Amino acid sequence: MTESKKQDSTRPWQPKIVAFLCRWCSYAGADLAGVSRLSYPPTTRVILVPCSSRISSYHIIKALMEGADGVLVSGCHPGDCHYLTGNLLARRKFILLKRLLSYMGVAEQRVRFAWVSASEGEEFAALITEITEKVRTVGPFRGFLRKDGGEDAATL
Amino acid sequence: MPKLKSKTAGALVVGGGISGMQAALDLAETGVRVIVVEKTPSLGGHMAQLDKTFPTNDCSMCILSPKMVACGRDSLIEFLSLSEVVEISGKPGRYTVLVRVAPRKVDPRKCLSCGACVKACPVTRAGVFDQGLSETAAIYRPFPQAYPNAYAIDEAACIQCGKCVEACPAGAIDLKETEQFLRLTAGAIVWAGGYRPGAIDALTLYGYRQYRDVITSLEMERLLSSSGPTGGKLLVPSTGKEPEKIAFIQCVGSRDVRFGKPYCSSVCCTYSIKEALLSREHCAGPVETKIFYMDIRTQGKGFERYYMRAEKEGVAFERSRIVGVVKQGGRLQITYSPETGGVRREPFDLVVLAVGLVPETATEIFPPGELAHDAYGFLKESSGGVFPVGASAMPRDIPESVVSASAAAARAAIQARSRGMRGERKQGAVTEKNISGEPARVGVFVCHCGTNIASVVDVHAVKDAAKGLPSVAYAGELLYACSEDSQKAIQEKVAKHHLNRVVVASCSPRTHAVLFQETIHQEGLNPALFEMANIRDQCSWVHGETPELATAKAEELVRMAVSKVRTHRPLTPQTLEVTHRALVIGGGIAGMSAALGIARQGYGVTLVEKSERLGGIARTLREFWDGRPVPPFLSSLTETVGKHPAIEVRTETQVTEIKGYKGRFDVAMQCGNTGTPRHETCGAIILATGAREWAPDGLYGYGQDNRIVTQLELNGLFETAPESIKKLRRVVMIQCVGSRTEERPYCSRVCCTQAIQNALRLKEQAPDAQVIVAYRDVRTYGLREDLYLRTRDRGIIFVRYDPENAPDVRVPEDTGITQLPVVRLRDPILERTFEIPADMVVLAAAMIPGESNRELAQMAKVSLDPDGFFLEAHVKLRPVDCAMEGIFLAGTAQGPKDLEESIEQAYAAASRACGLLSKEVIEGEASVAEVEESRCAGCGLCEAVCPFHAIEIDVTKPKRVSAVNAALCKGCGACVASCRNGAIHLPNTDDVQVVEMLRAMG
Repeated sequence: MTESKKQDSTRPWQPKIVAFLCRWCSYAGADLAGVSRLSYPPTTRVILVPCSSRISSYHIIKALMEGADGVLVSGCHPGDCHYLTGNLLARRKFILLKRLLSYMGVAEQRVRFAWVSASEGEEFAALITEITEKVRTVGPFRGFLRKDGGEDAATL
Repeated sequence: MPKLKSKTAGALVVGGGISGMQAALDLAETGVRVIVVEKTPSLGGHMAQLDKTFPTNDCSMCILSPKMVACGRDSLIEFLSLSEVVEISGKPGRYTVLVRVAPRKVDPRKCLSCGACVKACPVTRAGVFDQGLSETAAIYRPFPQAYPNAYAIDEAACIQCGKCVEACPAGAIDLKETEQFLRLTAGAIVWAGGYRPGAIDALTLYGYRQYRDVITSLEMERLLSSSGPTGGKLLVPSTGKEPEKIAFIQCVGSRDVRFGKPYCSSVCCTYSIKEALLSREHCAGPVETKIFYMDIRTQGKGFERYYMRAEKEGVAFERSRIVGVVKQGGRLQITYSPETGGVRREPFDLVVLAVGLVPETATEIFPPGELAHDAYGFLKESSGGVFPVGASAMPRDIPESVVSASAAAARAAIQARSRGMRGERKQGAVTEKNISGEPARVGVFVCHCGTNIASVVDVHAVKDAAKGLPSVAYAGELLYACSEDSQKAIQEKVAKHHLNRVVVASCSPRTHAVLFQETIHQEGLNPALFEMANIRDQCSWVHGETPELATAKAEELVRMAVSKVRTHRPLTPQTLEVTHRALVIGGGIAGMSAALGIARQGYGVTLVEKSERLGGIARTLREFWDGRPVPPFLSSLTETVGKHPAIEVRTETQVTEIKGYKGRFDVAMQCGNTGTPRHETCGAIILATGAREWAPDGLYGYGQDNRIVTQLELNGLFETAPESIKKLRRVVMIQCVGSRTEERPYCSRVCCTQAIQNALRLKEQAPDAQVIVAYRDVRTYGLREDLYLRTRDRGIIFVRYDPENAPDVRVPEDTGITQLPVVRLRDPILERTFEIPADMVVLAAAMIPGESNRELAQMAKVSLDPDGFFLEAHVKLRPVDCAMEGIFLAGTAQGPKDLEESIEQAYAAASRACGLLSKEVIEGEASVAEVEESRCAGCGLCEAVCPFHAIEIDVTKPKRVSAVNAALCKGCGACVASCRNGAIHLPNTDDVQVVEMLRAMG
C-alpha cells in the first residue's frame, strides 16, 4: 500500500461507511477520539445532523444506493438527548427499518444504530473499527434484493 | 509600586468552578458586566475532574464544557486565569479589589494549543488535575477541554531551558513574564471559592500515603475517567491489575469531632454509590464493592432511587465503624465493627476514602465585618454586598451549588442595578449581502493546523482537488485557519472573489464554526452560508498510520461540504419581543421570594395564590434549621411583597390556561370565589406551588387517637397547647412515614432535621420527658449535623429500624387519659423488642407534591418527575429551569427542600427569569422546521413526535395542516424525518443537503 500514493484499482478494497452523528453527543465523541489521538480505519464519512431523530429510513437507504457499504447512526445515550427524546424516536424507527432491510436482502452487519456520548472517544474508535470489520466480512454492497436472492444472500 | 492597571465591573466573581461560572453567566444574562477571577489556568473547578455525575451518570465534562464555552464567549464576562484576590476594601456598591495575576508565560491569544511545546519540554512534574496520578511537562494544559484552551508554564517546575520557546510555532511563550497586579472596582462580589478535599490527618488514619492502594474519592474519579491517567481503566495502583474487591469508607474527615469537622459533607454518600456502580462498569471481571457507612444520606432529588438501584445491583452496604486498615498478604485488610457489635476483618484490593469538603476560605482579605465564617470556615453573608456561594458557604452538591450561584447572581444584580452598573453586549450592525439569484461561488480554505493536519494529510492535494469542484471559485491554504490573520485573509478572499459560500476544512465545527461564521458575517455573508469539513479531529488525528487514505478521505469530506453548502440559503432567526413581566404561581415563601427577587430587578410581577392569604406552609413552621425564627421573617416578607409597587398580589386566584412561549405567555385565570376571569401577559412564569405533608391515615394509628400526630401538627401544638407539651413524659417519634417506600421511593429531606428540632424543643419545654426517635438513617446533612450532635447532650434516644422490622403502634381501646398508645420497637443493636407506652407519638410524614401539579404541568407543557414533583431541565446544571423555556421552578414544587433551600431556589428562579426579562427581543433557532402545506396531509404525526410541542395541526384552516411555532422549535428535525409526505423541511439540514453529500461521496 505504501508504494502507490494515489488511490487506484490495485489498492485493496476499503469499505465505505456513512456515519450520521448527532451534534451534541456522538459527533463530540468522534472529536474526542481525535483529541485523544486514537486510531481507527479511515472508512467513515461523517454527516453531522442535529439529532439522531433527524435521520429517516430514506437517508439510510439512499446512502447504500449512493455507494456506502455500511451505515452508522449514532445519537446520545437514552436520557442524554439534547432534544429530550429524539434518540428514542430514532431507535423506534430503526428497529422497523432493520426488519425491512433484512427483507430487502441487506446483510444486518451493514446498518448499525449506536449510542455514543461526548466522553466516549475510545468507544467511538472501537465502534468504527468493529463496524469496518463487520462490513469487510460481507464485502462491497452491490444493490438491493435481486431475483437470485440478493447480493448479500450468501451472508444472510 | 508602579501605577496599577484598573478595571471596573458590575460584579466580581471569585472562583471559576461551576458555582462561579453559573453566577457569572446569570449576571451577564441580566446585563451585568462581570469579571471572573480564578487561581488555576482554566475555568472548570472540581467538576471538570469528575468522571460522571450522580444520579444520572451523565458525563461531567460533557455537561460542563458548554458552560465553559458560554463563559468564554460572553462579551460581558472577562476571565482572569491564574489570578488571586489579595485585598478587598470598600463597601456594598463599591468594592476595590487588588488582584495578583501569576505569570502564565504563554499568551492565550496566541497559543494554538498544538502541543509542540510539550514535546520539547524536558521536565516532568506531577499533574495537579489528575491528583498527582499522572505526569505532565512543565508546560501543560490542565485538561484537553480547558478554557482558555492554552498552555501554561508551572513556574516551580520550569528550568528556563527555552526549548518550548523554540518549538512554539506561534511565538506565544514568554519566559520572562512576571506577576502583575490589577485593581478592580465592582459593585458586588460573588465568592465562589469552592472546597478542597478533606483533611490529610483524617486520611492517614486509614492508611493513606502509607499504602498506594488507599486512595481518595477524587483520585478515584480520575481513575474512572476515560481521559484520566489510566484511560478509564480501573487499575489497582500497586499491581496494575483490575481490583476484585473495592471498599469505600465513608465520613473520612466528616462527622468527626477528632479533626474539628463534625459537619456532614453532604455529597459523599451519593458519590461513593456512584463510584461503586461505575467501578463495576469499568472492570471486565466481576468486582465486589462494599460501602462502610454510618448513615446513608441520599437526601437529594433522585438519590434514594439511585441508592436502591445500587443495592439491587449488588453494592454491599455495611453500617459500621472502621477500626483500621493494614496491609496483609498483599491485600488491604479492613478491621471494622458492625452494627451488631464485635470485630470483623475483610480483605480488599482497593480502598477508597470518601473525603469530605473543606471550604477554601479567605476571610482575612475582607474588610472587618464584611464576611463572617463559621467554626468550620464556611462563609456567611453579612453585609449585603458579598455573596458566598456553592461549597464555600456550606457542603453542597452540584445542583445546590448552581442554585446558590443563580440566587447570588440575583442578589448581586439587584445591587449592581441600583448602582447603575450594567453593561451592554457588543453588537455590531452588519448589512448582509443579498445573494438571491446568484450562482453559488464557494471558497474553500484548507487548514494545515501547523503540522496537526499537514503531517498526515496532503493539504496541497486537498486544495487542488477542491479547485476542480463545481461552483468552487477559490481554494487556498491557511497555516492556522483560526488565527487572527487568517480571519482577515478569509475576508479578503470573500471580497476579492465575490464568494457567497465558504467551506473551511480544518478542525471541528463544534469548537470553531461560530468563529468562522462571525468572520464571514462581518464581510456581509449570512452565517448559514458556511460549512466545515472536519479533517483534523476526525481525519488526520485518527488516521496517522494511513496518510494517503487520510488524504483521500479529506478530499472527499471537502467535496461533500462543498456540495452541501452550494444548496444552503441564508437563514435569519426569528426575533421575538419580550414582555417584561413575570407571573409567579404560588404565594408561599418560595413564590414571595421569587416575586421580590424579580421586582427588585425592576420588572413587574403578578403573584397568584389560590388560598385567601400568602404564606403557604411556612405559616405552620417555627424556625429555620439554624434556629432563626420563621414568623417574624415571614411577616416582614409578606409585608414587603404586599407593599412593593411592582408586585401585584392576587389571592384566591387560580390559573386556568397557559398559552404562548418564552417571552410571551398568555395566561387565563379565575379570581375570587366568584371566579371572575382575568387575562395576563407575561414573559416568564415561575411555578412555586409548593408541596404538602402526607396524611398517614391508618398508619401507626394515625387518625384513631389524637395523641398520634405528625411533625407539622406537633409544631402547631407548641403554640396552641404549650401547657400539655410541658406535661409530656415520654414521646416516640417515628421517621420515614411514607417516605423511602415502594410507593414513594424518595427521601423527604426535611423530616430528620425537623424531628430533631422538635425533639430539642420538647426537651426544653419538658426537660424530664424521654424522647425516643425511631429512624432508618439520620439525614442531618451538611451543617444540620450540629443539631444531631446536640441531641446527644440532651439524652434524646435514637433507635434504628429496618423497613422489615418497622415499629408498630397499638392504639388503646379507651383513648382517654388512662391508657396510652404503645409503640413496639425492635432495637437492632440489643436485638430486643421493646413495648413503649408513649404520651405522644409523632410521625414524620412524607412531603408529597401539590394536588394541582398534574393539571398545571399539562397547562404549562412541563413534565413531572416520577414522584409528581415538577421536573427540571437538567438535574445537575439547570435545576430551576424547565425544559419548556421561559418557565422556572421555585421551592418544594420541584422536590422536597427546607425553607432556606426554597428561598435560595426562589432567588435562583428569579435570576433565571430576569435573564430572559432583561432582553428586548430574543432570537429563536436559525434553522427551524418549515411546513410545505400543499404536501401536508394533516396526519398529526409530527405533532406527536415533537418533544417541544412546537408543531400543531392548525384546525383554523380549511385544510388540516401542520403549523410550526418557530419560537418553540429547536431544529432537531424529528418531525422532518417522521413526515410520510416529505412535507416538513429543515432548511440547510434538509433531505436535499443529505443527498447532495451522499452523492458527492463517490
